[in-house]
Amino acid sequence: MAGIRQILQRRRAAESIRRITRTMGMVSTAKYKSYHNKRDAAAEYENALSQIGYLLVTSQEPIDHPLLKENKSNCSAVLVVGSARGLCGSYNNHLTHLLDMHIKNASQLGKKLDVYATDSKLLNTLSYRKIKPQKTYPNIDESLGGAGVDEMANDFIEQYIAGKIDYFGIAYMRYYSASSQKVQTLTILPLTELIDNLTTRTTAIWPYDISFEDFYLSPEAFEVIKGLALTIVRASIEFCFMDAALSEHLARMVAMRSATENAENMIKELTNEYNVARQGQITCELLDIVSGTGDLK
Amino acid sequence: MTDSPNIFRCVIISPAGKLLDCSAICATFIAHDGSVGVMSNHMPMLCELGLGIMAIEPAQTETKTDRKKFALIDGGFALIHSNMVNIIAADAVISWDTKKEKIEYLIERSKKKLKGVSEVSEQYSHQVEKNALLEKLLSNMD
Repeated sequence: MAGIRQILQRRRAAESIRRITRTMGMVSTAKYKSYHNKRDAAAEYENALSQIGYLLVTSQEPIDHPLLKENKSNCSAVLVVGSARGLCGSYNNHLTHLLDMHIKNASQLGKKLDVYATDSKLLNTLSYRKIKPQKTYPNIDESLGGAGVDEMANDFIEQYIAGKIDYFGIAYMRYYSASSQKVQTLTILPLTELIDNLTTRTTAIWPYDISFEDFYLSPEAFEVIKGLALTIVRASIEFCFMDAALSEHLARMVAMRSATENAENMIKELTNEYNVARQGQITCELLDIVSGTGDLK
Repeated sequence: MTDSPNIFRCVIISPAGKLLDCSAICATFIAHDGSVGVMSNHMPMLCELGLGIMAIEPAQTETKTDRKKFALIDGGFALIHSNMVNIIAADAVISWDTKKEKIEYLIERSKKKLKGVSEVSEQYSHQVEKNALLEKLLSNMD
């Protein structure tokens, strides 16, 4: 059995771990709630944008715009949104598996795959696996707070229009509910696939008896598509980032909760061990005193 | 949808959520090429928005006052159909539900951001114009 001093040291260490994990859990809970409120508020905006998108892609005469057409550049781009910080369980592992599938698919189809990533813990895994991202964008928090999302949207739209890529998707952890999050790839470009994806998520697609042809457009359809594409792509990237942030904080909350529970169990065990050791020491000392007194008699 | 012949439904949605959903008599907003006025039963229209202050005259039944509502709209789309105006704004600041301090904070923040931006850039002139409109919105609140 370890000495009393060693047991106390271990207990103190376990107590400080518990304090840290509990604080980290509380921080994650607060951030999770904040992102959850933002996501709820943004849902209506997403619905409204997908309604306009639906209206444009269901025109009787298809609109001639490069973003609505497929191109055959034989190169795809995937943006992987990893966790900004560590200690969130197997979050990044799931994304790595999804990226592996993309790489496998691309090699099977004989296509080139450009990997893009956000500044995250995933970069270490990518560098270990010798996957070099084409570009690293700022992490989720910085991107959502600044102009990072605009830059991303512009970059990929320009590449698609120039015919450098024929596909752009975001691999991220989608948040379904507090008990369900799954990795998935949301197709952002071609735009028709994105609008198709968004309309399947919305509550009401287009409940009115009015079609695209009845609308007066200002500016003309080509220009509207240009502006709408940028808005939808930007908003979709933001929604993906929000989902990823929500899932990350939820994963960290769960990981920190179980870490706190483990530390508490360890503290209980060490306290028992300490009490037994201390009682043994007291008994020993009492025996020494009693036997000493006996000898003196 | 509204039953009265002179009123229509006016909705403002931004990434921050639904900011307004009311019956209105008249609304004016800044489109990409100028100002647009809307009254009831407007023709179906989809137009890109510019930067400017939107004014909404709510129906009296809705607010019990005849005070106009103002909102700063920065980009997005206006979808008008079925006696309804949907403003899907990329960024919006409303005057009726926002504290003056928040607008002052927004002005200060954008002034700070401007320090690192080139004065000849489009972003700079856009931000300067937005600041001026925020100040105008602030004065409308008095």
